[in-house]
Amino acid sequence: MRIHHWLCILLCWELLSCNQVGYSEKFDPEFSHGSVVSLPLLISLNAASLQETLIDDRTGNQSIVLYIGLITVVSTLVLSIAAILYGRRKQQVYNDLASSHAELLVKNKAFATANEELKYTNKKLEDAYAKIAEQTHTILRQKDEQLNRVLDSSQDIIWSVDLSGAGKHYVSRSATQVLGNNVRGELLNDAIYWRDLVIDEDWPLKEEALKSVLQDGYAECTYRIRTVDDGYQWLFEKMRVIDDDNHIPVRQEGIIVDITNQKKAEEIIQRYQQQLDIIFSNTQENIVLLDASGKVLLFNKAFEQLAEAVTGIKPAVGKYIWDITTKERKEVSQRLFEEALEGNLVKTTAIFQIRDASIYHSVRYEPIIEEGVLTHVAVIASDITQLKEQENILRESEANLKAIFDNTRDSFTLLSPDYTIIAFNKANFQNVLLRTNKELKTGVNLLEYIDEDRRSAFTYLLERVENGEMISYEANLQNGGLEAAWFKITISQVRSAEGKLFGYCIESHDINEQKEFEGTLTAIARELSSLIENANVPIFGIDQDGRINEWNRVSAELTGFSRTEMIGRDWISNLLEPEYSEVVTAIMKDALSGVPVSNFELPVLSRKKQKLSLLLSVSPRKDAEHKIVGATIVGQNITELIEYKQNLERMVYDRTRELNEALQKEKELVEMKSKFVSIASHEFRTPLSSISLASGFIKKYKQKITPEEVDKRLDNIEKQVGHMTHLLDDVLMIGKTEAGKLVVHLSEVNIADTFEKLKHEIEQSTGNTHTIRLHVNSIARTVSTDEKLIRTMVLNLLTNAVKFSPGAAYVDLSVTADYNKLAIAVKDYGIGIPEQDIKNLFEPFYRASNAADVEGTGLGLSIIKKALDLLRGYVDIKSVIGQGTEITIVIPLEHA
Amino acid sequence: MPKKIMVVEDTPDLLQHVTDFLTMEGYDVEPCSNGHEAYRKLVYSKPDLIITDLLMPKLDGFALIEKIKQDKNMQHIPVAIFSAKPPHENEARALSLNVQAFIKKPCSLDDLHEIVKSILDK
Repeated sequence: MRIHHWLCILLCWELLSCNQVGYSEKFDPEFSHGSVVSLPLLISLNAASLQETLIDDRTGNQSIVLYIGLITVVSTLVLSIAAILYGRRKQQVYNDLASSHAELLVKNKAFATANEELKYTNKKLEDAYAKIAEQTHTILRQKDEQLNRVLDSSQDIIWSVDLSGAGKHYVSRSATQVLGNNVRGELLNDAIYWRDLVIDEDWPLKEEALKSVLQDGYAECTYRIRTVDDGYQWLFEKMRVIDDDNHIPVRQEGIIVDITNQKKAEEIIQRYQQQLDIIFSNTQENIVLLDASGKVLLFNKAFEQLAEAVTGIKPAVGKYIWDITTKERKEVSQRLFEEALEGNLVKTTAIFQIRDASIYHSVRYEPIIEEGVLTHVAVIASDITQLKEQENILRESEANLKAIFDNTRDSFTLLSPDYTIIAFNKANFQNVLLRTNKELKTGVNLLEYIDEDRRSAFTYLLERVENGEMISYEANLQNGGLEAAWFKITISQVRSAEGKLFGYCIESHDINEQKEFEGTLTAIARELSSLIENANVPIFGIDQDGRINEWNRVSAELTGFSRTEMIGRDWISNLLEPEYSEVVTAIMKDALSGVPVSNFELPVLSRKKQKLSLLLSVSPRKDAEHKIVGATIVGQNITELIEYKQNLERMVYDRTRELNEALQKEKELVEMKSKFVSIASHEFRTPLSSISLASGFIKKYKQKITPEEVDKRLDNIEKQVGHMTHLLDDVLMIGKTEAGKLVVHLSEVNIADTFEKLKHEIEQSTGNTHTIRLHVNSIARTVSTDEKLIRTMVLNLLTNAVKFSPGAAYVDLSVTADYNKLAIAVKDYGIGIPEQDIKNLFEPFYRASNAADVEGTGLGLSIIKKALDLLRGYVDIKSVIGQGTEITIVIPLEHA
Repeated sequence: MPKKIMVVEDTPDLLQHVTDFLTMEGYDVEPCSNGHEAYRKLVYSKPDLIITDLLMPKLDGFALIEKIKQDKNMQHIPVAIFSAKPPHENEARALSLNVQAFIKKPCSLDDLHEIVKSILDK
């Protein structure tokens, strides 16, 4: 715009200046020629301007650019022409000026003054021109900037190529954004050509366009160029050729739009479309698209296969939908389509027969409405054969369930939340219903069938069920004049799939048999319990944790712990001493794992901490499923048995000891007897030796010896025989006492006479080595006693006294008799008896350790002891070693 | 020179009978009434044979024999035991003490003489 305006101004000014010069009178054809040329140019310019404005209106910014380009070309053309014309005219003026120079010189002076004025005016004009020029420049600059801003603000590349060879190329700054900065500069400098940028395979497109633009003046094309990052951009280019007046092309110009994003979007859409096509072609749904007349526009593979299989007709575009279906469905199909045409979504189920098999399809006729107009109808059919089959199965199973429901002996009644009967089964007529004498009907409130006095209780039950409880109870129904029968009634909530309370289900189950069975069981159980309870042995049971759950009467009696006390308590810790708990725990573990344990003895503590000996057997206890639930312990109180056993053992022990003692005694006796025999034989052998030697001597030397010698030996033989007789008497006496054959013969014994005789007898028999000093102190002259036993004892005592006091002069014999007793004491002054030997002195053949040198039978004291035992008397020994011994015998005197 | 025999016996009658018999048979007899006496006499008297009882007061027969066997001057003298004790009770001890003979009471004069002669003739 700015350029041709500027041109207009320039031309106007020139026209004006021609007029101003003032050659109007003298019309210069040359001069007027310029004006003539300028004038149509101006008009054409204005006409172009008008035309452009029109173009501008139609095509907007793009047109403006084209327009500007055109103007620029035209302006340049006009300017060039103007410059030529102007140059010519100037030459003429100069020629005229030279010819009139002289005239001018003349007139010069006249004008000098005027000149000064003119100079001044000129100066002023110059200033004005400068100002105008400056303002014009500013305007131009502003205009230029505006144009650039417009061009540069464009996203598109605007280019212009000079074909005349006189002008310059132009590429708008927006190329920088599209192509990159360097590329624009290089293009402007002809460093690179556009050809270099276009992707090789797309170049023919561009080339084609370049050819056609030269031919037709206008062309457009779409192609790709490389980008710096080795990618590409899609460009859409429009171009045209500008001709000069002579129809010679002077410029080629174009505008390029980056359509990469658009192309990429198209690619994506295309890809989606392909994918959709795949889905469409491969889906199991059978899809047909119809136009508003019912003709097939499009169908997928699934439909094609289905149609062929069902009808044998190959569907084709342009056929009516009802012509490619079965004869039977023709009308239906038509009707459904018409319904769809009215804008309704139509659904139906179609049954097709393919080779004897029924195939179910759910068919939808879907109207497609675009901008309020029904344009298409889509028919979509889905195979629902499987669904149908399942439905059939479901229906069958429902029927089965119904059959079960109706044939079960249990009765079911379904109630709504307000207790109205929704459904019930046949069984109701057979049990509960019959008892009410009323016919059960749906839609009736159940409470009407219930006696008034029981209604509130029943309502209460239902309320509990509503709060989430499941009620189950056993009822003995006696209504209807029938026999009472037991039912187990269960009331539960019925909830919908969404969890909303749908109602209640009342289920009643005939439990008469069960009840009878229970009764029998209870009786058996009672009998068993009674058996256990009354068994004469302690029986108790434990659960798996060792807690007591059975405790019979005897258990309670024995331990003193009652049943109520013991139930639930741990038996090991409550009944046993801690020391047994470990071993019993092990036994119980065995029993609870199924191994019965028999007859183990266990002390159990009673309430009074008394120890009871029980013989226990533990057996595992099993429930109906043979699962071990505990153990039963059967005991036997063996406390008394144990005591008896202990007593028996003690007795056996005692007897054994006694027996051992007796045996020992027997052994001792045997030893004694053997010793007795040994000693006795020795005691007999010595006198026998004397007798043998004396008699042999007499026999051998009777011729050589004197009669006195013979007598002396014979006397000795007699003496030895006497000693042997005495020894024999002692032995016999012992034998008699041992055999219990010796008996007491009481007689009145004269004390003084008896002891005097004994004194002399001993003095004589011991060779008068000792004098026996007799002291008698008696209240009576005679005592009643056994004279023979007294004699035996005193003779023994005196003989011992003499024997064990060799060299002593005296032996004292004291006899004291009072009313009750007779005491005889014999005292010697001899070797004494060692203390350790005193206790054994009365054993037969026992001889004190210091008595070995002294001849004796060892029977004397033993005989004294036996005699004293017979007379119930006792003996006392006092003895000091080296000083002597005093032995006192005391005999109680008996009075008739 | 008659053989000398020492007789040790605590029963006086028996000692007398043995002494009388052996004297009659021509032996020189040294009677002792216990072992103690016998041992005392042996210090100066050297018999050819000792006949001793076992059960005697003061020093019994075995004790006497042990003393004799321990004494160098007497251990060579043969010893005969003259006892009523059964031989089986004393035999082992008698043998250990190297006793020449065991004369059991009662015995006849001939038996006694036989034993004495057999010992002295060795």
